[in-house]
Amino acid sequence: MNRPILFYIMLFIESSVAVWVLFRWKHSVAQQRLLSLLLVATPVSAIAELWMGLHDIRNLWVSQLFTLIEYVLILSVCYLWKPKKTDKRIIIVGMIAFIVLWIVSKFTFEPLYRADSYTSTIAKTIEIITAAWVLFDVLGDSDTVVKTDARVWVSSGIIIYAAGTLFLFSLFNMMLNTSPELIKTLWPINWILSIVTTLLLARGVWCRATP
Amino acid sequence: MSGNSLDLLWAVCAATAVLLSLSIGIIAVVIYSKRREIAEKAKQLEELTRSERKYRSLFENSLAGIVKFSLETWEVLDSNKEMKQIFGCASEQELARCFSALPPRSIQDIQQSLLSSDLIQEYEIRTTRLDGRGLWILFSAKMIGEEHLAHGVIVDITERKVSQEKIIEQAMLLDEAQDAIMVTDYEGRITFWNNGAELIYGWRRKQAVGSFIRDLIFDTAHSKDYDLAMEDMLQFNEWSGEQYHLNKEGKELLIQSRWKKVESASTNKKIIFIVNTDITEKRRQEIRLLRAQRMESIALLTGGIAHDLQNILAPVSMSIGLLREKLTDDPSMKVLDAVEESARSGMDLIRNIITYGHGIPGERVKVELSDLFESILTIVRQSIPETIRIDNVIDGKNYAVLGDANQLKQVFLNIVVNARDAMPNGGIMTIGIYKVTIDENCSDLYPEAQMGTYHLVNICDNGSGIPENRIERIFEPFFTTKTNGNGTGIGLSLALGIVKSHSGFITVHSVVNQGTEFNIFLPALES
Repeated sequence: MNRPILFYIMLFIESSVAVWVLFRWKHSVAQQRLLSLLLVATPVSAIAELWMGLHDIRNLWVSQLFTLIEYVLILSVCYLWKPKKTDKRIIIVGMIAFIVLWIVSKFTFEPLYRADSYTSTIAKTIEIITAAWVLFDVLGDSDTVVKTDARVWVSSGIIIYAAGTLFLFSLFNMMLNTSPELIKTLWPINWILSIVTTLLLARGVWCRATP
Repeated sequence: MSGNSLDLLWAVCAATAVLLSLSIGIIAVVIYSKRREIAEKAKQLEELTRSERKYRSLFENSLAGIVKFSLETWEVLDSNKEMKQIFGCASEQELARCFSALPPRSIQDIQQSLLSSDLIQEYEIRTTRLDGRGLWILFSAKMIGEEHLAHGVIVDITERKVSQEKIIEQAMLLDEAQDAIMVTDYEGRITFWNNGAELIYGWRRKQAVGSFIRDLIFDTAHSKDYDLAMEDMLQFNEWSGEQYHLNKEGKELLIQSRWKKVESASTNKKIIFIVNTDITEKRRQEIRLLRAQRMESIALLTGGIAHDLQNILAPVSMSIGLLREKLTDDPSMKVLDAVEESARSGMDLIRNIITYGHGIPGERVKVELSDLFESILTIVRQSIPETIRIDNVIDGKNYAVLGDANQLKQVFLNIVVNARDAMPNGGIMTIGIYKVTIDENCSDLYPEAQMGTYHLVNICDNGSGIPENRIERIFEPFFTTKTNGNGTGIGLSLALGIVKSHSGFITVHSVVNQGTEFNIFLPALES
């Protein structure tokens, strides 16, 4: 149990939100359910990583798998939010391309026993672009009310988390090779952003006016 | 941590901070823009709502009916409360029914006008309310931006129309009136002149309206009557009385006139409302009736006196025979002759008076007037001076009447002798007989006449004539203008009595120094 208190706070918040979204699963629509899955997957992966770490089991593959799940779920939600068929097609192509890349990477340059710097960076970059794209859709939508529009909360959460953790993940291997202490110093950024993002996504799930 | 590690730490931190700030910045900008847009939109919406509320209030509370309708389907899309009230509808469906029930011709006119000029103004339509009562509406409409849609404004003008119709009806009634109805301003300028006035005065409406009443129907001799009437009217707000007016031909009319001051409540304009009734003929008939009544009274009185006188003279006449047997000397016989002559004259006179009073039935046989006149003229020609010329314009025969030839001869002789006496210095006497028919149209001229065919014996002279004030009295018994005992004053009254007993009548027209015309009407004997 050599983790800082911030980690447990994060775990508590994420778990609470996961329980809450599961409780309202029945009343949720497709987008809300996908987000709920993401909100459940987040504490589950964190707990799995913690448990595996405590039992000296390699856990980097959990993080890699979570990157893929997170990417697929986020792009799926954005897919549902996009009204135009062309936009939807672009998202599908991006999703399939990434999955292929991810699978290829696991057998080539980024095996599962290492941290996922490349795929994670690509995933986060695409997530930022897609979320920003959705956010600009909101800007052009005349009927929407910011406070009650799930797209605003969810896109903001995704952008903040992905942008805030982009360099952490992309330089993870470099930092690990240079000084593991660096990761310990910088990793609270991930937890803080994870808390913020979880809360923003939860707010998004809570929104009634989900497009 | 080594120097490299620190550098990496700072690099990651800085890059993360930059990227995070950028992302948050973008999100903030998006949200801020959206919120601002929403705020503006809300403001606009609020303005729009306020404006709509204002116009909706105007729309709903308007005293005119407002309707939005489709020009193509003639369907009501929106309407206000007043619109339903005008048509007496409670729902939109009922209103739609009434709106569709507008006359097809009107709908066509409205559609054409709106399609050609986008506008139709104050188009009057006669239609019905939902309950079937008549309705007059004033329809104005304008096309609105949307395709084939228009806004219409409808005003209920039923009351106005009813009033207008009433006014027209009243104006027609005024025109139908037999009386002359006119309206003038205070200066006496005529502003209204009805048909009755046209008939009485002969002036057409176009000629009368605008002219001064004083100049138009008052002659100089009677213009003071106008001033007096006006004075009274101004003082008491109304005046009524009799006036002498002139018609277009200059003929004097006796008018019963009623003036009333009327003040318009709306324009404050003061006018004089005048109703004039022509009583000329009525007055003439009254005079005739009075004269007839007077003649009847005189006839009754004289008849009574004549009977008494006859009774008084009868013993005188009878005793002359007895006295002739006792008094046989010449002087006595002369006296008795004189007494007998006087008694006979007296008896003749009394007989004439009785004839005037009660008429003498006499015999009633066919008398040919032309033959009768031949014998009369034979006698007359012997007794009139050569300075008097007789123009006999009797054309042939067929002027038969049923009567007593002697009595009729007496009538004509009386009148012919009067004509002779009216021309002491000579002149022309014209005698003619005409066949005339008196029907409804001229029965007013001859109130004593029965409708039918008459033979008119016309005896004219161009002698001294009879003054107007005496002409009414010439048929009275004992009225004479002849001096020195030349006339008894019984001739014309006797003539009238005889003619009346033959169901006829006599008219006289005379102008001093121009002559006199006697017309004796006797019922024609139909074959």
